[in-house]
Amino acid sequence: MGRRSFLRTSAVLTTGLAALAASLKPLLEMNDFPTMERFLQKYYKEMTPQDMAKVLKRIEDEVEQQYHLRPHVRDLKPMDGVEFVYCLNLTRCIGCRKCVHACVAENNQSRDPEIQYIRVLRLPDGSLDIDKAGHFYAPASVPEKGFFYMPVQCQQCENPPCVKVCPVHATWQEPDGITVIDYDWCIGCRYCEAACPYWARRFNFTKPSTLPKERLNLDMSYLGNRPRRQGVMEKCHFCIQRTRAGRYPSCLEVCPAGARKFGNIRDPNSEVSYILKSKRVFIQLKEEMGTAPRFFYYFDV
Amino acid sequence: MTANAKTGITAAVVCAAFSALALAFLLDSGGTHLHRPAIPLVDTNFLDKSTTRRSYADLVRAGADLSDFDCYICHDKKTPPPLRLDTNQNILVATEHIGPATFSADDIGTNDLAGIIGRLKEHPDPVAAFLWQSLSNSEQLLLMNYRPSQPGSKQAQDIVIPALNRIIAEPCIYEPGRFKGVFLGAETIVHLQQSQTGPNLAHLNRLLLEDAFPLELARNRHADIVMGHGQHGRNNNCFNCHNETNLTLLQPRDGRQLTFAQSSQLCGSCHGPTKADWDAGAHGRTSGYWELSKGAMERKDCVNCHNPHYPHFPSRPPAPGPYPLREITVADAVPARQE
Repeated sequence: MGRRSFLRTSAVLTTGLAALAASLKPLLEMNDFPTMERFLQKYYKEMTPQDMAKVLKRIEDEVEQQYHLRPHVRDLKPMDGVEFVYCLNLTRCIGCRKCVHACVAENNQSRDPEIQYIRVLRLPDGSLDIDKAGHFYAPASVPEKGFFYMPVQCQQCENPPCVKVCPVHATWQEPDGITVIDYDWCIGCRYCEAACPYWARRFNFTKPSTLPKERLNLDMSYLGNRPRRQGVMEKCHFCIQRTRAGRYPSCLEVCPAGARKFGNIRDPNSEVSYILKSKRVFIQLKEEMGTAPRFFYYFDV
Repeated sequence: MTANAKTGITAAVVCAAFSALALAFLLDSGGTHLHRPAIPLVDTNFLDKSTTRRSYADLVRAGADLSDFDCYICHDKKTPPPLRLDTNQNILVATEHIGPATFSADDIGTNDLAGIIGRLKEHPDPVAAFLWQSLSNSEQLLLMNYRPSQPGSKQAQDIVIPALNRIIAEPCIYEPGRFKGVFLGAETIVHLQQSQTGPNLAHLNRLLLEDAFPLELARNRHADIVMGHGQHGRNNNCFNCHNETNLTLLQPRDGRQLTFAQSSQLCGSCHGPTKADWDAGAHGRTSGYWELSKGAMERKDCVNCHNPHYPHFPSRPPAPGPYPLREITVADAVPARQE
């Protein structure tokens, strides 16, 4: 090999290697390499109870390693004869956003970057035109004259467009009506975010913030509020760790005006059955999309 | 220069340029990071699950001080309390326990302060506009920038309280045009017709301010009774609901006698449809378990959220909204109002 060709080849090689190294640089920032256990984990629906027990222990270990607190991670199954429905009274909602923050606290969402499942829209009186809505309002006190408020979160559709587009079946609808996400199966393609007509899905673009210990909710569930990783999708799951244990969701508990109602639509004596039977129920949001939400807005008068 | 040498030089230059670019990319030089302030944790007030008010039943359950409800500390058990009427035959609510006319920091809580400042800033009514004009420019600016969830409320309080006290010390602030649309209490009307000098005047001005800001400024007067039940003032009569011969009981018009803990029955005796909704769980707050086999469901009483003497649901400062990544334009924050 001549001197010239050696120099040329080595220069090209150096450039190529440097460019390769530069393109791989984002890997340097990745600090969350999957363990072999996680890498080989089975699909949620194919796991045996023993597999699940192992996975739950792994998650508990991971959280304990990060926070030095041992959480209680469960995998609650849907109850028989239960289908959840949410009703929200637009006459009563005062737009105080307490539900937003109770949800964030309950579900261990990232604070900075901010991930919130509920978006409270403020609309001018006399119209339900979402184009006129805003969600950055910050008056000294609410409710404001001339406006009403409409919180929007995952509508738990009966015919969910987000589920249809998922290429890896990482999101699906459970028998009790909750559309769930397996955070360990999600590949982060964000198709579901694009498909959702309610802007209900949130993506972890960066690593979710580490929460202060006292703000961490230790009652966790596999499909619910266990800590998420960068690059996965998440959304409202009707507080699956609470509602499948028979409790009300967190946003309902905190609402000062009692505007939020939740229950089992298959029980004819439940609150939601009464509301759907006897109150003036405004259409489901974006009814024309054919998604058939399980989230109903109603009025008092 | 031969073609070969030209190619060599070009290749070398391209190689050097690519190496430099790769190095720059590796070192992240020239990259500008988006600088935005860190998002603070939300105030735990906004995570509080307690109700707006504590009902009598709550107080009994918590073993709290019930002396406020012990009518016979002051009243005589055998003689019913005399009703004092003003010239319009309106009932005068007893004015015992009234302290000095001037406002102090204890009279105005954080929520009240936010409410007052909100109304002053927007001054939609003549009274608020009058108060706003009495502030200096610098004070107005400070209040404009006031956010309830941020520190600086002490500073705002130091502006609002002296301003209110300044107005109390002025000549009578009552003008029919200014107070048009304000529901004046019976006591205020009586005071308006009496001599307006000295302490009487200060007291009248305070009553006027309290009537103009019923939610924010009304103070502990006969256990903070401000009458405002119904749109027309027709229900502002003590014995529509209270039993005149036994003050510890309530009495709906059908003659039943109810204790304070059963007050929801009394409310339901007039508000039938709302009571039906409340019974079914469609109105009011519930908490606990929806699945009764797993735990108890708790349904809150009417008076947990509504003050029976002034049932309008109180306004409150909102929790912080989402933090945008870019500046919010006015169009985002305030959608076009439909006229």
